[in-house]
Amino acid sequence: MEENTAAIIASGDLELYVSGSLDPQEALRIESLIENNPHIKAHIDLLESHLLEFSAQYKKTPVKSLKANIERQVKRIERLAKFSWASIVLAVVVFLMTSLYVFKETKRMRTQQSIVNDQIKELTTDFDQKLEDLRNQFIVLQSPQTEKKEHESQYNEVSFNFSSYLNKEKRLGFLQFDNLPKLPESMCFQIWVSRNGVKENIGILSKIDKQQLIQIPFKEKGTIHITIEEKPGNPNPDPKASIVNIPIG
Amino acid sequence: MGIDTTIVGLLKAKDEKALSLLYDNYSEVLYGVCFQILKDTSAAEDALQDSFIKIWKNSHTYDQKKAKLFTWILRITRNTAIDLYRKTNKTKPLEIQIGISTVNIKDPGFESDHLDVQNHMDRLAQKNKAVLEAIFFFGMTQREVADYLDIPLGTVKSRLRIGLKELGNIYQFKQ
Repeated sequence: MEENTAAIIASGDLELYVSGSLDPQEALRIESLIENNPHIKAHIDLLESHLLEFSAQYKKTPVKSLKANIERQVKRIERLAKFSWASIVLAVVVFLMTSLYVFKETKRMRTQQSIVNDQIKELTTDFDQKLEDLRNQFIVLQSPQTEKKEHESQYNEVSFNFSSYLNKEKRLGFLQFDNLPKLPESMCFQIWVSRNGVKENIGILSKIDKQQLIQIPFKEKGTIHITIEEKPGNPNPDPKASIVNIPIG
Repeated sequence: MGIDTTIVGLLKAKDEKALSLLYDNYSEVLYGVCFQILKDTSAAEDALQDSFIKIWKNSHTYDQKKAKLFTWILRITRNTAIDLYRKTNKTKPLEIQIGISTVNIKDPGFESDHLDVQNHMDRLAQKNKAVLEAIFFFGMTQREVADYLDIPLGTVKSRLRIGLKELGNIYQFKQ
């Protein structure tokens, strides 16, 4: 060990290390020796002291303004570094906020687009349905094969009138009410059709529109019924409670 | 707590007082080294200023376990001065004056204790001093010194060892 230490000291590498003249790989080797060998560490300390003294013999006073110049330049560097960091942080924050805004806006617009698409679809379907209804009404009302009947019925001793239009050839049927007796708020007139024991709900009559024609499905033989039910209607109405019975088909 | 420890603490904390202390304690030595290499006051000032900026920017890389503060700043300064010399004198090789003292001992920047050192430094054989200067100040390898001074590599090694031993003796004598 001592022999090895002496050889390392004699090699001149430590002087080169202290002077910073070794290549990085060699410098790492010496640093490892310094850490592990106290004799080498002591020798390096000695060399560093000598280097300081050796360098000190050449000391010379620089111009007085140099210190202020250096301090000014360092202050400028620090200001720039702080500004750079602030710029980076600001850029990141702006980017994140913009991304978040764009993300939220895209999501909102997609939702809105979906709603608008649904509305357009509903409107189209509704429009098609209304157009079909109008076409059917026109066919039924203009056709000589259509059988028109006037009906009169009573509820609580109040009579009410309505018309039925049935076209067996076209398998189309409509009801048109002139008036209806007044019901309590919680009750309603329900129209439904029974065919071979199967009940098909047509809907409830909330108010009377004389121009309105209520379309009745007319595929097979059956009976149109009107009952008085609690709002919003009865899924299984009783034919015996019917105040109107009109055979169709 | 030594001044170096204080300076290192301030440097690591990026406290600008570190630069002031560093300058007050080491600028004359470092400027002298720059001047030795560049032989021009204006260029030496530029090199010193650049060195202090590098020291400030790289302060986080300094490791007290590896080298003393002065050794570290001297390396940065020396390398900066050599780089500047090479940049401005691309075709001109480094000049080492052998056998002539390049130090003006009447320079008002020198303190009395260094005059003592200077007197003793005169005892350092010029041939050994030239090798020391070539390695410490000009960053030459031992092989480059041998080629430059036209002496065998073994002679460079022995002059370096003897020179350092003489330095050791001089400082021992001084103390």
